[in-house]
Amino acid sequence: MDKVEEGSKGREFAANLLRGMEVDLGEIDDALSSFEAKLNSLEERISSLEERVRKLETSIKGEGR
Amino acid sequence: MRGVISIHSYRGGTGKSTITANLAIALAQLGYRVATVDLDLSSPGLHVILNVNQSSLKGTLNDFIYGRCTIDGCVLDLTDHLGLANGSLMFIGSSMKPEEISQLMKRDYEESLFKRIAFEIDRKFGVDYLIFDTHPGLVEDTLLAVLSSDLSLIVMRMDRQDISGTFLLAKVLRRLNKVFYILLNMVPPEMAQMPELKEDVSNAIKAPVLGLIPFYDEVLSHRSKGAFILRHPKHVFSTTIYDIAKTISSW
Repeated sequence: MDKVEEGSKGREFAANLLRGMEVDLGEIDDALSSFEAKLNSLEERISSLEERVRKLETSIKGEGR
Repeated sequence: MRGVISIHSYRGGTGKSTITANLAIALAQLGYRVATVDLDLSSPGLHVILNVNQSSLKGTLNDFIYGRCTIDGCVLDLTDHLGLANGSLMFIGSSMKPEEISQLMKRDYEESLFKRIAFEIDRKFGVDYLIFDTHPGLVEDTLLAVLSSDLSLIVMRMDRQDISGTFLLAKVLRRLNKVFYILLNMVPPEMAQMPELKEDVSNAIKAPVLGLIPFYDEVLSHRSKGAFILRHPKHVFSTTIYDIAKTISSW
């Protein structure tokens, strides 16, 4: 653990840090869009797998009769 | 001390305080000496999950900040209160008195305050882990807590607002060269089954994912009536928290 440093005006210090940061907001939008697309594709794959399972179950039940 | 951990999130309602309380207890049950501090200064609530009444706090973080008490005057040892079989858990709560919240919001404090709190707790009680439960968002108090921590966990739901906000937080923490991990919480059950989810989130946010906690009705129904992990130690939520605690303690 570091030794405690002396200082004052904590919030002012933190606010100055934030003020000094430039963020590309477009990058955030792009990240969200591409992640959404990935999630949608995963959800579609899961739905398709669930549909295949349902069909297999129906088919197995049919053969059992 | 093995480490100072801050638990954070971009938005409120992510289950940050629930995770803080349960993770602190899990680390204690693994045999560690743990302290947790409610740094959600404008809306304290960690004490409720830890089953502590505001009126039973002999001193608060507010008292310490303004020099009205020493660190041992505001630390509450919850080890027996919670019936912990192993380790120990100490707690510093924040005041819910409106005038004290207002006072703290208006006045600044020293830059090294949270480092000093960690230093003093370690010196007096010799803890292994100190966990800060912070206020959500990109606010000054939280930034100072994160800067004073060795490790930060950002709690995130699979919600568009959380995802974009966590991306921003991750960017800020990277610029500050801080070590941090994402903790996915309240993940819809069907989504929690996706094997690639953790990797996809990690790629999207550009940060490692430490754990994934699905949404459980039982946790919601528990309504913060004490720590879930103590009431339901065998529940998957609790075992997942224990796994996260074990991972952290292995570092």
